Amino acid sequence: MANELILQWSKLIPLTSNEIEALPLNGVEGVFRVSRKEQDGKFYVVFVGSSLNLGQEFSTLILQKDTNFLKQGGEFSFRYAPLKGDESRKAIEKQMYKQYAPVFNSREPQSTLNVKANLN
Amino acid sequence: MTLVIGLKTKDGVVIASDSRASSTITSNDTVQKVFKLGEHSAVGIAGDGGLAMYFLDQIKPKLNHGTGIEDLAEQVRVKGKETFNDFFEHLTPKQRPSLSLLLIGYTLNDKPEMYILSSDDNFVPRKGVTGFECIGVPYIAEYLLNRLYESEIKTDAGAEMSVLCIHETSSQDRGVGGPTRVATFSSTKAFQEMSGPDIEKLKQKAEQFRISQKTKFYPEDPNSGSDQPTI
Repeated sequence: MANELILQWSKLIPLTSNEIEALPLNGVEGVFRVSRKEQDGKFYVVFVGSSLNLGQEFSTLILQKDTNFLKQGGEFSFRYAPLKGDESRKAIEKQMYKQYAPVFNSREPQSTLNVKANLN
Repeated sequence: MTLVIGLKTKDGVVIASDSRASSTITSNDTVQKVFKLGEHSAVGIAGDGGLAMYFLDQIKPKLNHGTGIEDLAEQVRVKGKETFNDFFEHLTPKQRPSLSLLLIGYTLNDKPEMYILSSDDNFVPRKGVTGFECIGVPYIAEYLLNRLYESEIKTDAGAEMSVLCIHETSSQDRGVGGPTRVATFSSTKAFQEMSGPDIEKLKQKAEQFRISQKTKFYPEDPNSGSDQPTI
């Protein structure tokens, strides 16, 4: 039986430098997922991750948009949930990978921790 | 259990398999299930692994590979029936262990063909009509191939498709698993097994294929979430 974690997720936020700068995310540990708007108008998850510093993670994503998956173009959004503990973050990253099957994650995140969290 | 897949492609043929031998509680992932016959013919086996190996050892030296795949299928039928009857003369047909063979190769006119032969059916060859054939645990692979396979497929993509089918089956059926093996040949190119690293790359691509479909069932809910989430 998996241990259950209760996470508070952010709203769906446009992935732009203005939005990132406005958020108090510097030094915040957590998990996140990025989604892209498809033709049906819905956002589908294309990348999941975790970080010790979400602010820095998103800034780097934006800064390197010409070389990472953002270069594919389109309208991207993200949401995040603060979460402490590297092992827990990896476990939730893996859970999101399993559920959302994001196309831009090349490998399944590795974690042996048996925890589950709400993803919304 | 086993999964062996044969595919005809525009520029050759592909034969691929898993490598798991399983009993009720144990499994071994080192079993070879695809064998070269001639330079342009091969066979895949499913069923009792030890029996299949010995059976092949017995009939292989008696086969003439230079007469085309149709004749090879007939030779396997005759030798297979003879050998099985010799092995299991003390058992009724229903009591005998089961063995399936997937034979793939070229006719004398350089046309690729496949045949399925089963001990349950006296090794009467069944000629493939769809361009792909599966033996062992075929259901998931047959579903995928029915959806994905076109006769225009090239050999490298056919190898990738075979790996996808084996990968997907192994994710659902624990009787199929272990390292995947893939071999290709054509009427002009000799039988060649793909390297482990090359197959591993195909498995990574198969994983991407699988996951790229799933995401469509889980769109983000634009109304959920907090303005300032906390731990």
